Amino acid sequence: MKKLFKFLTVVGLSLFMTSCYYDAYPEEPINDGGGNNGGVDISYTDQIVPLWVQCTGCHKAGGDEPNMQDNSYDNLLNGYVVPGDAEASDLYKSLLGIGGISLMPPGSKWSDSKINLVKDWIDQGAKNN
Amino acid sequence: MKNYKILLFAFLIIPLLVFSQKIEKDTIIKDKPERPAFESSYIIDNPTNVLLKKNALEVQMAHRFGSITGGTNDLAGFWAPSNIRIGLAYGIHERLTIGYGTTKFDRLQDFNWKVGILKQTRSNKIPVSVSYYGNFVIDARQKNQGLFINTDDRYSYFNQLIIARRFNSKLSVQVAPSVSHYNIVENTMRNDMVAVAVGARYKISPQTSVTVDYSQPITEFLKDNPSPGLSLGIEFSTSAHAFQLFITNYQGIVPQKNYMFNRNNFEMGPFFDSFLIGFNITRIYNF
Repeated sequence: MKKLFKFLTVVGLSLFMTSCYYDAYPEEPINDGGGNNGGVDISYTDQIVPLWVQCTGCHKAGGDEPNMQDNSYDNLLNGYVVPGDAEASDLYKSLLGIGGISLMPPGSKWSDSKINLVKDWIDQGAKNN
Repeated sequence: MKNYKILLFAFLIIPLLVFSQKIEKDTIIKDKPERPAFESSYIIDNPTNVLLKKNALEVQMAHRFGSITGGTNDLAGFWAPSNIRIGLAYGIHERLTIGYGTTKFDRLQDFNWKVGILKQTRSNKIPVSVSYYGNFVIDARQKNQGLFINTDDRYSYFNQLIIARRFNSKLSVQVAPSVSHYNIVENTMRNDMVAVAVGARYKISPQTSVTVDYSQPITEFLKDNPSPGLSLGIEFSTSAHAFQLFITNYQGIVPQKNYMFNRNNFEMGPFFDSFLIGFNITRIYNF
Protein backbone atom coordinates (compact mmCIF):
# COMPACT_ATOMS: atom_id res chain seq x y z
CA MET A 1 0.00 0.00 0.00
CA LYS A 2 2.77 2.39 1.00
CA LYS A 3 4.79 1.43 -2.05
CA LEU A 4 1.80 1.95 -4.31
CA PHE A 5 1.17 5.34 -2.76
CA LYS A 6 4.80 6.36 -3.33
CA PHE A 7 4.63 5.16 -6.90
CA LEU A 8 1.42 7.05 -7.58
CA THR A 9 2.85 10.20 -5.97
CA VAL A 10 5.93 10.12 -8.15
CA VAL A 11 4.03 9.40 -11.35
CA GLY A 12 1.26 11.85 -10.49
CA LEU A 13 3.57 14.69 -9.54
CA SER A 14 5.88 14.24 -12.49
CA LEU A 15 2.94 14.30 -14.90
CA PHE A 16 1.35 17.14 -13.04
CA MET A 17 4.33 19.46 -12.64
CA THR A 18 5.10 19.46 -16.35
CA SER A 19 1.59 19.87 -17.67
CA CYS A 20 1.05 23.54 -16.90
CA TYR A 21 2.09 26.07 -19.55
CA TYR A 22 1.10 29.33 -21.21
CA ASP A 23 -0.23 29.28 -24.75
CA ALA A 24 -2.72 31.15 -26.87
CA TYR A 25 -4.72 30.23 -29.94
CA PRO A 26 -3.04 31.50 -33.11
CA GLU A 27 -4.36 34.84 -34.28
CA GLU A 28 -7.25 34.36 -36.64
CA PRO A 29 -7.78 36.41 -39.80
CA ILE A 30 -9.51 39.60 -38.79
CA ASN A 31 -13.09 39.64 -39.87
CA ASP A 32 -15.13 42.61 -38.77
CA GLY A 33 -18.46 41.13 -39.69
CA GLY A 34 -18.96 44.10 -41.98
CA GLY A 35 -21.12 42.04 -44.28
CA ASN A 36 -19.11 41.15 -47.35
CA ASN A 37 -15.96 39.39 -46.10
CA GLY A 38 -13.82 41.76 -48.15
CA GLY A 39 -15.83 41.06 -51.28
CA VAL A 40 -14.93 37.37 -51.29
CA ASP A 41 -17.76 34.86 -51.42
CA ILE A 42 -17.90 32.54 -48.43
CA SER A 43 -18.34 28.89 -49.34
CA TYR A 44 -20.99 27.12 -47.30
CA THR A 45 -19.51 23.68 -47.86
CA ASP A 46 -15.86 24.59 -47.30
CA GLN A 47 -16.03 27.29 -44.65
CA ILE A 48 -19.33 27.07 -42.79
CA VAL A 49 -20.10 23.35 -42.58
CA PRO A 50 -16.80 22.56 -40.79
CA LEU A 51 -17.96 24.86 -37.99
CA TRP A 52 -20.98 22.70 -37.34
CA VAL A 53 -18.97 19.77 -35.93
CA GLN A 54 -19.39 21.40 -32.55
CA CYS A 55 -23.18 21.40 -32.94
CA THR A 56 -23.93 17.95 -34.27
CA GLY A 57 -23.56 16.29 -30.87
CA CYS A 58 -27.08 17.53 -30.10
CA HIS A 59 -28.38 18.86 -33.43
CA LYS A 60 -28.66 15.52 -35.18
CA ALA A 61 -31.41 13.33 -36.53
CA GLY A 62 -33.79 12.64 -33.66
CA GLY A 63 -32.08 15.28 -31.50
CA ASP A 64 -32.61 19.00 -31.07
CA GLU A 65 -33.95 21.10 -33.93
CA PRO A 66 -32.56 22.01 -36.41
CA ASN A 67 -30.76 18.90 -37.61
CA MET A 68 -27.32 20.15 -38.61
CA GLN A 69 -25.80 16.79 -39.39
CA ASP A 70 -27.67 15.78 -42.52
CA ASN A 71 -28.88 18.26 -45.07
CA SER A 72 -27.96 21.14 -42.78
CA TYR A 73 -28.46 23.83 -45.42
CA ASP A 74 -32.14 23.06 -46.02
CA ASN A 75 -32.82 22.61 -42.32
CA LEU A 76 -31.22 25.94 -41.42
CA LEU A 77 -32.98 27.83 -44.18
CA ASN A 78 -36.24 26.43 -42.84
CA GLY A 79 -36.76 29.26 -40.36
CA TYR A 80 -33.36 29.69 -38.73
CA VAL A 81 -31.64 31.80 -41.35
CA VAL A 82 -33.02 34.88 -43.13
CA PRO A 83 -30.82 35.18 -46.25
CA GLY A 84 -29.20 38.60 -46.39
CA ASP A 85 -30.19 39.61 -42.87
CA ALA A 86 -28.03 38.12 -40.13
CA GLU A 87 -29.50 40.37 -37.44
CA ALA A 88 -32.91 38.82 -38.03
CA SER A 89 -31.64 35.23 -38.17
CA ASP A 90 -32.10 33.01 -35.14
CA LEU A 91 -28.86 31.24 -36.05
CA TYR A 92 -26.82 34.44 -35.64
CA LYS A 93 -28.72 35.47 -32.51
CA SER A 94 -28.03 32.11 -30.90
CA LEU A 95 -24.28 32.47 -31.48
CA LEU A 96 -24.43 35.72 -29.49
CA GLY A 97 -27.12 34.59 -27.05
CA ILE A 98 -29.27 37.67 -27.74
CA GLY A 99 -32.86 38.42 -28.68
CA GLY A 100 -34.46 35.71 -26.59
CA ILE A 101 -32.34 32.89 -28.00
CA SER A 102 -30.08 30.85 -25.69
CA LEU A 103 -26.35 31.07 -26.34
CA MET A 104 -25.00 28.30 -28.56
CA PRO A 105 -22.87 26.32 -28.01
CA PRO A 106 -24.17 26.44 -24.42
CA GLY A 107 -21.73 27.97 -21.98
CA SER A 108 -18.91 28.79 -24.38
CA LYS A 109 -19.26 31.54 -26.92
CA TRP A 110 -17.36 31.21 -30.18
CA SER A 111 -14.54 33.56 -31.12
CA ASP A 112 -15.59 36.73 -32.96
CA SER A 113 -14.00 35.62 -36.21
CA LYS A 114 -16.07 32.43 -36.34
CA ILE A 115 -19.26 34.29 -35.50
CA ASN A 116 -18.51 36.99 -38.06
CA LEU A 117 -17.86 34.39 -40.74
CA VAL A 118 -21.36 33.03 -40.20
CA LYS A 119 -22.72 36.58 -40.14
CA ASP A 120 -21.06 37.45 -43.44
CA TRP A 121 -22.26 34.23 -45.02
CA ILE A 122 -25.85 35.09 -44.08
CA ASP A 123 -25.43 38.71 -45.18
CA GLN A 124 -24.08 37.56 -48.54
CA GLY A 125 -27.41 35.84 -49.06
CA ALA A 126 -26.77 32.48 -47.35
CA LYS A 127 -25.76 30.80 -50.56
CA ASN A 128 -25.54 27.03 -50.83
CA ASN A 129 -22.18 26.96 -52.56
CA MET B 1 14.95 37.99 57.96
CA LYS B 2 16.17 37.23 54.50
CA ASN B 3 14.44 33.86 54.60
CA TYR B 4 11.17 35.53 55.61
CA LYS B 5 11.46 37.85 52.67
CA ILE B 6 11.85 34.90 50.35
CA LEU B 7 8.95 33.12 51.99
CA LEU B 8 6.74 36.20 51.70
CA PHE B 9 7.65 36.55 48.08
CA ALA B 10 6.85 32.89 47.54
CA PHE B 11 3.48 33.17 49.31
CA LEU B 12 2.64 36.27 47.35
CA ILE B 13 3.49 34.72 44.07
CA ILE B 14 1.73 31.40 44.65
CA PRO B 15 -1.78 32.74 44.07
CA LEU B 16 -0.60 34.22 40.79
CA LEU B 17 0.93 30.93 39.76
CA VAL B 18 -2.21 29.08 40.72
CA PHE B 19 -4.25 31.65 38.88
CA SER B 20 -2.18 31.34 35.77
CA GLN B 21 -2.42 27.60 35.94
CA LYS B 22 -6.14 27.85 36.22
CA ILE B 23 -6.35 30.01 33.12
CA GLU B 24 -4.20 27.60 31.22
CA LYS B 25 -6.42 24.72 32.24
CA ASP B 26 -9.54 26.60 31.20
CA THR B 27 -7.99 27.39 27.86
CA ILE B 28 -7.25 23.77 27.28
CA ILE B 29 -10.80 22.80 28.00
CA LYS B 30 -12.28 25.61 25.95
CA ASP B 31 -9.89 25.44 23.04
CA LYS B 32 -11.75 22.97 20.90
CA PRO B 33 -12.15 23.56 17.18
CA GLU B 34 -15.15 25.68 16.27
CA ARG B 35 -18.04 23.99 14.49
CA PRO B 36 -17.84 24.08 10.69
CA ALA B 37 -18.62 27.52 9.27
CA PHE B 38 -20.81 26.14 6.49
CA GLU B 39 -23.06 23.16 5.93
CA SER B 40 -21.64 21.65 2.78
CA SER B 41 -18.78 21.73 0.29
CA TYR B 42 -20.16 24.64 -1.73
CA ILE B 43 -21.44 28.01 -0.62
CA ILE B 44 -23.10 28.48 -4.02
CA ASP B 45 -20.57 28.82 -6.83
CA ASN B 46 -17.41 28.72 -4.74
CA PRO B 47 -16.23 25.88 -2.53
CA THR B 48 -16.38 26.44 1.23
CA ASN B 49 -13.64 25.68 3.74
CA VAL B 50 -15.59 22.66 5.01
CA LEU B 51 -13.67 19.38 5.02
CA LEU B 52 -15.21 15.95 5.22
CA LYS B 53 -14.61 13.70 8.20
CA LYS B 54 -12.29 10.77 7.69
CA ASN B 55 -13.97 8.08 5.60
CA ALA B 56 -16.99 10.25 4.81
CA LEU B 57 -18.31 10.21 1.27
CA GLU B 58 -20.18 13.17 -0.17
CA VAL B 59 -22.36 12.97 -3.26
CA GLN B 60 -22.71 16.31 -5.00
CA MET B 61 -25.31 17.28 -7.56
CA ALA B 62 -25.39 20.73 -9.11
CA HIS B 63 -27.75 22.11 -11.70
CA ARG B 64 -27.94 25.46 -13.52
CA PHE B 65 -30.96 26.17 -15.72
CA GLY B 66 -31.05 28.66 -18.61
CA SER B 67 -31.43 32.38 -17.96
CA ILE B 68 -34.78 33.35 -16.51
CA THR B 69 -35.98 35.68 -19.26
CA GLY B 70 -33.27 34.98 -21.83
CA GLY B 71 -35.25 32.56 -23.95
CA THR B 72 -38.72 32.59 -25.41
CA ASN B 73 -41.19 29.91 -24.35
CA ASP B 74 -38.78 28.07 -22.04
CA LEU B 75 -40.50 28.35 -18.62
CA ALA B 76 -38.06 30.73 -16.93
CA GLY B 77 -35.11 28.79 -18.29
CA PHE B 78 -36.24 25.34 -17.15
CA TRP B 79 -36.54 24.09 -20.71
CA ALA B 80 -33.42 25.88 -21.97
CA PRO B 81 -30.05 24.12 -22.19
CA SER B 82 -28.92 23.53 -18.62
CA ASN B 83 -25.63 22.67 -17.03
CA ILE B 84 -25.23 19.70 -14.70
CA ARG B 85 -22.43 18.41 -12.49
CA ILE B 86 -22.37 15.12 -10.61
CA GLY B 87 -19.50 14.65 -8.23
CA LEU B 88 -18.10 12.60 -5.38
CA ALA B 89 -15.80 13.68 -2.58
CA TYR B 90 -14.11 11.52 0.01
CA GLY B 91 -12.34 12.38 3.25
CA ILE B 92 -9.12 10.38 3.35
CA HIS B 93 -7.89 12.32 6.41
CA GLU B 94 -9.45 14.85 8.77
CA ARG B 95 -7.55 17.53 6.91
CA LEU B 96 -7.62 16.19 3.35
CA THR B 97 -10.62 15.69 1.09
CA ILE B 98 -10.32 14.57 -2.51
CA GLY B 99 -13.01 14.50 -5.16
CA TYR B 100 -14.00 13.96 -8.75
CA GLY B 101 -16.83 15.38 -10.78
CA THR B 102 -18.10 15.57 -14.31
CA THR B 103 -19.88 18.54 -15.87
CA LYS B 104 -22.12 18.68 -18.92
CA PHE B 105 -21.02 21.94 -20.59
CA ASP B 106 -17.64 21.44 -22.29
CA ARG B 107 -17.53 17.92 -20.79
CA LEU B 108 -15.29 19.06 -17.96
CA GLN B 109 -13.77 16.31 -15.82
CA ASP B 110 -12.52 17.75 -12.56
CA PHE B 111 -10.22 16.20 -9.99
CA ASN B 112 -10.15 18.27 -6.82
CA TRP B 113 -8.55 18.34 -3.41
CA LYS B 114 -9.06 20.41 -0.30
CA VAL B 115 -6.57 20.73 2.53
CA GLY B 116 -7.33 22.12 5.99
CA ILE B 117 -4.51 24.44 7.03
CA LEU B 118 -5.97 26.19 10.07
CA LYS B 119 -9.04 25.44 12.13
CA GLN B 120 -10.86 28.18 13.98
CA THR B 121 -10.98 27.50 17.72
CA ARG B 122 -13.70 28.30 20.22
CA SER B 123 -11.35 30.39 22.35
CA ASN B 124 -10.58 32.56 19.31
CA LYS B 125 -6.89 31.80 19.69
CA ILE B 126 -7.11 30.97 15.98
CA PRO B 127 -9.78 33.39 14.75
CA VAL B 128 -10.26 31.96 11.25
CA SER B 129 -10.27 28.68 9.40
CA VAL B 130 -8.06 28.44 6.35
CA SER B 131 -8.42 25.77 3.69
CA TYR B 132 -6.73 25.36 0.35
CA TYR B 133 -8.82 24.14 -2.57
CA GLY B 134 -7.28 23.06 -5.85
CA ASN B 135 -8.44 21.27 -8.94
CA PHE B 136 -7.21 19.91 -12.23
CA VAL B 137 -9.71 19.87 -15.06
CA ILE B 138 -9.69 18.06 -18.39
CA ASP B 139 -11.90 19.34 -21.18
CA ALA B 140 -13.12 16.10 -22.73
CA ARG B 141 -14.81 17.44 -25.85
CA GLN B 142 -14.37 15.41 -29.01
CA LYS B 143 -11.13 15.63 -30.91
CA ASN B 144 -12.66 16.36 -34.31
CA GLN B 145 -13.99 19.76 -33.31
CA GLY B 146 -10.61 21.38 -33.82
CA LEU B 147 -10.64 23.02 -30.39
CA PHE B 148 -7.28 21.82 -29.18
CA ILE B 149 -3.89 21.75 -30.83
CA ASN B 150 -2.18 19.56 -28.23
CA THR B 151 -3.69 17.22 -25.67
CA ASP B 152 -2.36 19.40 -22.87
CA ASP B 153 -4.46 22.29 -24.20
CA ARG B 154 -7.41 20.58 -22.55
CA TYR B 155 -6.05 21.16 -19.05
CA SER B 156 -6.95 23.92 -16.67
CA TYR B 157 -6.18 24.51 -13.02
CA PHE B 158 -7.70 26.32 -10.10
CA ASN B 159 -6.10 27.21 -6.78
CA GLN B 160 -7.98 28.95 -4.02
CA LEU B 161 -7.27 29.89 -0.42
CA ILE B 162 -10.47 29.94 1.59
CA ILE B 163 -10.41 32.03 4.74
CA ALA B 164 -13.59 31.53 6.73
CA ARG B 165 -14.88 32.68 10.07
CA ARG B 166 -17.89 31.52 12.02
CA PHE B 167 -18.87 34.64 13.94
CA ASN B 168 -21.68 32.98 15.88
CA SER B 169 -24.21 30.22 15.43
CA LYS B 170 -25.94 32.24 12.72
CA LEU B 171 -23.38 34.19 10.75
CA SER B 172 -20.41 32.80 8.83
CA VAL B 173 -18.32 34.68 6.28
CA GLN B 174 -15.56 33.59 3.92
CA VAL B 175 -13.08 35.41 1.71
CA ALA B 176 -11.41 33.39 -1.03
CA PRO B 177 -8.62 34.69 -3.27
CA SER B 178 -7.90 32.43 -6.22
CA VAL B 179 -5.82 31.87 -9.34
CA SER B 180 -7.29 30.13 -12.38
CA HIS B 181 -5.02 28.86 -15.12
CA TYR B 182 -5.86 27.67 -18.63
CA ASN B 183 -3.11 26.18 -20.76
CA ILE B 184 -4.55 27.73 -23.91
CA VAL B 185 -6.78 30.78 -24.30
CA GLU B 186 -7.87 33.20 -27.02
CA ASN B 187 -5.04 35.60 -27.81
CA THR B 188 -6.92 38.56 -26.31
CA MET B 189 -7.08 36.80 -22.96
CA ARG B 190 -4.49 35.90 -20.36
CA ASN B 191 -3.73 32.38 -19.19
CA ASP B 192 -3.94 33.29 -15.51
CA MET B 193 -6.85 34.95 -13.79
CA VAL B 194 -6.54 36.31 -10.27
CA ALA B 195 -9.86 36.72 -8.53
CA VAL B 196 -11.39 37.10 -5.11
CA ALA B 197 -14.70 35.85 -3.79
CA VAL B 198 -16.71 36.81 -0.73
CA GLY B 199 -19.46 34.60 0.61
CA ALA B 200 -21.69 34.60 3.65
CA ARG B 201 -24.36 32.54 5.33
CA TYR B 202 -26.96 33.74 7.79
CA LYS B 203 -29.23 31.25 9.54
CA ILE B 204 -32.85 32.29 9.78
CA SER B 205 -33.96 29.06 11.46
CA PRO B 206 -32.03 26.02 12.71
CA GLN B 207 -32.24 24.36 9.31
CA THR B 208 -32.70 27.25 6.92
CA SER B 209 -30.22 29.91 6.00
CA VAL B 210 -29.77 32.68 3.47
CA THR B 211 -26.53 32.59 1.48
CA VAL B 212 -24.79 35.08 -0.76
CA ASP B 213 -21.71 34.57 -2.93
CA TYR B 214 -19.91 37.26 -4.91
CA SER B 215 -16.92 36.59 -7.19
CA GLN B 216 -14.80 39.39 -8.60
CA PRO B 217 -12.23 38.71 -11.37
CA ILE B 218 -9.23 41.03 -11.03
CA THR B 219 -6.95 40.29 -14.01
CA GLU B 220 -7.80 42.45 -17.02
CA PHE B 221 -7.98 40.98 -20.53
CA LEU B 222 -7.35 42.96 -23.71
CA LYS B 223 -11.05 42.67 -24.45
CA ASP B 224 -14.16 40.79 -23.32
CA ASN B 225 -13.43 40.84 -19.62
CA PRO B 226 -15.45 38.24 -17.76
CA SER B 227 -18.27 39.61 -15.63
CA PRO B 228 -18.32 39.27 -11.86
CA GLY B 229 -20.68 36.70 -10.41
CA LEU B 230 -23.40 37.32 -7.88
CA SER B 231 -25.52 34.59 -6.33
CA LEU B 232 -28.32 34.73 -3.77
CA GLY B 233 -29.74 31.59 -2.29
CA ILE B 234 -31.58 29.72 0.40
CA GLU B 235 -30.08 26.64 2.01
CA PHE B 236 -32.00 23.89 3.75
CA SER B 237 -29.83 21.50 5.67
CA THR B 238 -29.82 18.54 8.01
CA SER B 239 -26.80 16.85 9.54
CA ALA B 240 -25.89 14.94 6.40
CA HIS B 241 -27.75 16.74 3.67
CA ALA B 242 -27.86 20.24 2.21
CA PHE B 243 -30.15 21.59 -0.43
CA GLN B 244 -29.46 24.99 -1.93
CA LEU B 245 -31.82 26.87 -4.22
CA PHE B 246 -30.55 30.13 -5.71
CA ILE B 247 -30.36 32.63 -8.51
CA THR B 248 -26.98 33.37 -10.05
CA ASN B 249 -25.45 34.81 -13.20
CA TYR B 250 -22.87 32.01 -13.37
CA GLN B 251 -23.88 29.10 -15.58
CA GLY B 252 -20.61 27.23 -15.23
CA ILE B 253 -20.14 24.98 -12.22
CA VAL B 254 -16.39 24.35 -12.27
CA PRO B 255 -14.98 27.59 -10.76
CA GLN B 256 -12.33 28.52 -13.34
CA LYS B 257 -14.87 28.31 -16.15
CA ASN B 258 -16.85 31.09 -14.45
CA TYR B 259 -13.89 33.23 -13.51
CA MET B 260 -12.42 33.17 -17.02
CA PHE B 261 -15.40 33.03 -19.35
CA ASN B 262 -18.57 34.33 -17.73
CA ARG B 263 -20.54 36.41 -20.23
CA ASN B 264 -23.73 36.88 -18.20
CA ASN B 265 -23.28 40.46 -17.11
CA PHE B 266 -25.45 43.00 -15.39
CA GLU B 267 -25.74 45.17 -18.51
CA MET B 268 -27.48 42.55 -20.64
CA GLY B 269 -30.80 44.30 -20.28
CA PRO B 270 -33.55 43.38 -17.87
CA PHE B 271 -32.16 42.06 -14.60
CA PHE B 272 -33.32 38.50 -15.11
CA ASP B 273 -31.80 38.25 -18.59
CA SER B 274 -28.44 37.47 -17.11
CA PHE B 275 -29.62 35.55 -14.05
CA LEU B 276 -30.68 31.94 -13.87
CA ILE B 277 -32.09 29.51 -11.34
CA GLY B 278 -29.94 26.70 -10.00
CA PHE B 279 -29.67 24.23 -7.19
CA ASN B 280 -26.99 22.24 -5.37
CA ILE B 281 -27.66 19.07 -3.44
CA THR B 282 -25.10 17.36 -1.23
CA ARG B 283 -25.50 14.20 0.80
CA ILE B 284 -22.82 12.91 3.15
CA TYR B 285 -22.48 9.22 4.02
CA ASN B 286 -20.32 8.41 7.03
CA PHE B 287 -18.52 5.09 7.06
